[in-house]
Order: sequence, then C-alpha cells, then structure tokens
Amino acid sequence: MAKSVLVIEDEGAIAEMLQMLLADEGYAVRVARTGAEGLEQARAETPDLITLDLSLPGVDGATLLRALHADGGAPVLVISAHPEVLAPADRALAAAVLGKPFDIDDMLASVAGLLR
Amino acid sequence: MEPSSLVLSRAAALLSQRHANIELRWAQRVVTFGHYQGRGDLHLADVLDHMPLLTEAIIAVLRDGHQPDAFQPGGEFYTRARTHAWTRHEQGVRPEEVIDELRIFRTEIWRELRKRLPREMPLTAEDVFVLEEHVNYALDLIVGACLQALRELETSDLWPLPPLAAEE
Repeated sequence: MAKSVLVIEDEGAIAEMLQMLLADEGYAVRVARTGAEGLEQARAETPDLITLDLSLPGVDGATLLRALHADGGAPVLVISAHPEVLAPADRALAAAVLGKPFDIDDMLASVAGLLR
Repeated sequence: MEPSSLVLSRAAALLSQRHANIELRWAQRVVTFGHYQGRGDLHLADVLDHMPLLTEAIIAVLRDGHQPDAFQPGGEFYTRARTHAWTRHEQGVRPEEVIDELRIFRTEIWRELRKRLPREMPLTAEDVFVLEEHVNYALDLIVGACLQALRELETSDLWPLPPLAAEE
C-alpha cells in the first residue's frame, strides 16, 4: 500500500507542485490549504508523513507543529522559505527542515528518508 | 567535436535534464512576490506560463548555436518571450515584477550550470567564456523581447488591465 503524505501548504502553486512530485513517486497525497484544515486531516486520516509550510492563514505553522507533535502522529517535514523563524524548541519537534526554494531531488530524498 | 562545442552540448543536455528543477525552484521564489499574495487560485501552470518554453530556447542556442532569426520580431523565441510578457500583464503582474522574475530565471539557470557542469567535465577558461557568451546571448534576447513587449504595453491604452478574476 502506498505511503501517504499530507501536504499543508497555502500557496496553491506550491501545493500543486508538491502533490505532483510526490504522486509521481507513488505516494498517496492529500493537500490542506490552512492550518485548521491540516490539523483536522492529520487527525482524521493519520498520514505517514506531513509536510508543513510555516506561513499559513489562521493557525501559524509553529503552533500547528506543536499541536501535531502533541498528537504524537506522523513525522513532520517543515518546508519553508523562512525556517529561521522557528524557535529552537519548535525546530526540535520537526523530523526535518527544508528551506525554499528546494531542489526536487533534495525534497524527495528527505521524504523518502523519513518514510524509510 | 571542438572543445567549445563539447561544453555547449553538455550544458544543453544538463539543462534538458534539469529543466523541471530550474522552473520549479524559480516558481517557489516568484510566488513570494507581492502580486501572488492572496492569489492562491493561481495554478502552477499559470505561474510557470511560458518559462519552460524559454528554457527550451536557451537549450536550443546551446545545442544549435546562435539563432538570430528566432529572436527577430516574428521569430519563434521572440514570440515566446513576448507572449510571456503579455500573459503576465493579463495576470496583473507589474512590469517591474516581470523584470524581477526574469532576473531570478537567469540566476536559476546559472545556478544549475555552475553547480553541476564542473562535476561532469573539467572546464577550461575558454569553455567558461563560450558558455557565458551563449547563455547570456539567449537570456539577453529573451529579456529584451519581454522588455519591448512591456514597454509597448506601458505606453498603450491597454495598461493597466485589472488582475484576472479568481476562479469561480
């Protein structure tokens, strides 16, 4: 059965890009465009991995990261243009952090590594 | 094959192989610009627009040499660049932001070449000169055609058009 990835990303074009790249690798991909929607989907669908943008409308990425970690669910790959905004304590909650713009192969290697 | 031809054909092959990475890195950078704020409705294809075709124009120059006819008004690459500028105009992107997008395009093209080409072959000074000359030739003509189109739009009654409406 395909591993599942929940992409939490508000930028439509970037969400589409991640969905396309991950689906091409055989992952089952769902997309949430807000923090609230992401948290709801993470709890309802228990994905194997979550990719999380930090700049989200409503619930900010750091708050969402803490909530996802408290749920004890899937590892979280933070993908952000400004990962430096994460406080060290929050950064430690992420399974990995990837800056934007990312290279396709770096992103896919991070995802594969976390799902291994 | 002449040594300088070798570097150009390797560079063309590299850009062909890596064009998706170039364009997707470019897209990640440009969506942070002001005109994309609140435009979550724009699809990746809207953001990319003609960029893949512009990358192909650079690859064609590296593979086949200078192509003055293609960059003349009415030529294939000239038309691609103009159409890109027009589409951006229709999307509500300001001309200075189109220029910034093209600057980032140049940066991403060179990033890929500088990062990967030396891993594939040892580069002589002459290789670097020839490569610089061909890539910049293509990029400068692409930017020039876009600028010409933007200048015409700026001075016409068509400017400014409202941004595209969000999808229903």
